Amino acid sequence: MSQCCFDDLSTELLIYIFNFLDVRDLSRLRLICRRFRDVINAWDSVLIKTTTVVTNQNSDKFLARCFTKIPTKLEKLRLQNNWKYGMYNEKNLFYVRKRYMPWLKLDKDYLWFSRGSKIFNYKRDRECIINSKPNYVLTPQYRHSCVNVGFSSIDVTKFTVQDDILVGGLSDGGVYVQNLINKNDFYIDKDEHTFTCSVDISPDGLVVASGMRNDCFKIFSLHRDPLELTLIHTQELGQRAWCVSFCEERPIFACGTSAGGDSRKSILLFDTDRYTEIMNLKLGHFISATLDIKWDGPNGIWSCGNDSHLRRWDLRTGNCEQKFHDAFGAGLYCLDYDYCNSIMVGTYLHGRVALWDVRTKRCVQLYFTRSCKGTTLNSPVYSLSFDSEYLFAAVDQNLNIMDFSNYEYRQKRDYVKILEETKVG
Amino acid sequence: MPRIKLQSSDNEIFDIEVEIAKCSVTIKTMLEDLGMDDEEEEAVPLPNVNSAILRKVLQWATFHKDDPPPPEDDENKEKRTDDISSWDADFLKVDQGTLFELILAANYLDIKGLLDVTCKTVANMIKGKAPEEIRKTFNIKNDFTASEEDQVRKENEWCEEK
Repeated sequence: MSQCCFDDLSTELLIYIFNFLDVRDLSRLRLICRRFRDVINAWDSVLIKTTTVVTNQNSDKFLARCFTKIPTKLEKLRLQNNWKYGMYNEKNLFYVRKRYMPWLKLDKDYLWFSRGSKIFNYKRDRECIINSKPNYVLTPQYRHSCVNVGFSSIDVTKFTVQDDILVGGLSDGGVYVQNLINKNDFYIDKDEHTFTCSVDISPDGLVVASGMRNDCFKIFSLHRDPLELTLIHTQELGQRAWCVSFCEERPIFACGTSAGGDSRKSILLFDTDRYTEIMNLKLGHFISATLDIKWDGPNGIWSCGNDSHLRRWDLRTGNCEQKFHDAFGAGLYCLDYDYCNSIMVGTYLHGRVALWDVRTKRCVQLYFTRSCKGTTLNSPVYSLSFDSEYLFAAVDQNLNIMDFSNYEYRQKRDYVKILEETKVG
Repeated sequence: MPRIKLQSSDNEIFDIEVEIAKCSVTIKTMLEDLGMDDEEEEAVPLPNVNSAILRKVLQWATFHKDDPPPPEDDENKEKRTDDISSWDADFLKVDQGTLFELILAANYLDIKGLLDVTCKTVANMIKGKAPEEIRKTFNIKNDFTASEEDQVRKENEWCEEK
């Protein structure tokens, strides 16, 4: 009788056999011995064909904000399972009594968070998700302030960070820029009668745009040494400029508006050479503000706003090619994307975030942020971001962090299932 | 019908039809490369296959000689293991050592049909079984430390709960 066994098979042949097995059998096989575990860990992306949401990490742009590069397909599936069924640990940070409109930005090592007149920088770490002491705090204040009596410093509305430059929009219509290395800063364009709704930096880092409440956007050239912004263009829109964004792949600039006026243009597109309008996107009969936009390659734009729809626009056709309606018909304040198939929106009520799989028409899951006492919130999600393990949602009094990487927390909060069951009933 | 001689690792000579031998891509390529298309006196040496296994392989090849060539693998298709024919199932009622030797021989001789059916048989012996059962079936030693095993168990938990 032959003594031939698994030990005699090459890795190639093991994979050939394992290829006939499903996820459950493969994960069990990892418990047999070290060799099986190591072969499956190394080859599971070949053995398992299914694609995942949130944990796919297909895009370098998404990976640039992921704390952990998920090593194996099985681990991606495990994490996806937590996202799908709402199994997470929630942390509730920085509670304040006063209600603000915070904003945040996530990258691999840092979390930026603005509230009131301050912008905080936190180093991310595994143990406490983020260390509760900020690395540093930026407080935009006028250097030659003469009217500072009985007037607290100016609030930050939105901000963005690119390489070593931070740009913030201010609630008095000003724009703030800071060199993060030498801490030099610069202010511009204070205007008591308006409000800076949004800011962005061009991909080459040479131009800054600000969207204004008083019906225009402004373009500044950015000089590094000395740090300075120079107004080079003001574009009158006849409606509010809620969000501004430069395309990374080609010289186009997008501006989401309140879609007022007769034209009802929701998103306007300009060339970045002379800032002439080259295209506009319309919602049709709706009058609805576009509150957040994200580019998706050179020809795609994701947008969300008051009309409770998340939309994907194709610039080649000028049409809305995909449309996702919020389950509760709430307005959508902000969105973030993994540049593959997962997109999340922050809604107007109950601190609720919705996760969509863009390949289907299905909402994958809803996440309700909670107060530190565990009660539901009555706040919009003003800003959000996520990586493959964590969801960061900024609400009026807190920053909430949901940790989906955990093994222990197995209670399902499957609101999508509950909704479906109520519909059937 | 042209014939060919194959020599096993233990020096047994098998005199068979060339068409059957050509089930093996390895032999087929060898014959083409060497131009051995006519009646050849010399035996083709197969140093990796013993006579017992070669006899089994040739028995399989003889039965399947008129099969259409196996379809190309579709990367995205879920692979089935419940499509083993009853003849193959009977043919593979052998001890485990022989089954593994057949896998090695099918791989060496490059006979996709035989490799598929033998690997599927092994996969079926794994499917739906608990780890301890699998170790027992294949006589595999658990070489994990307790903490390593706990770690994998923890990573696997999500798959087991329903």
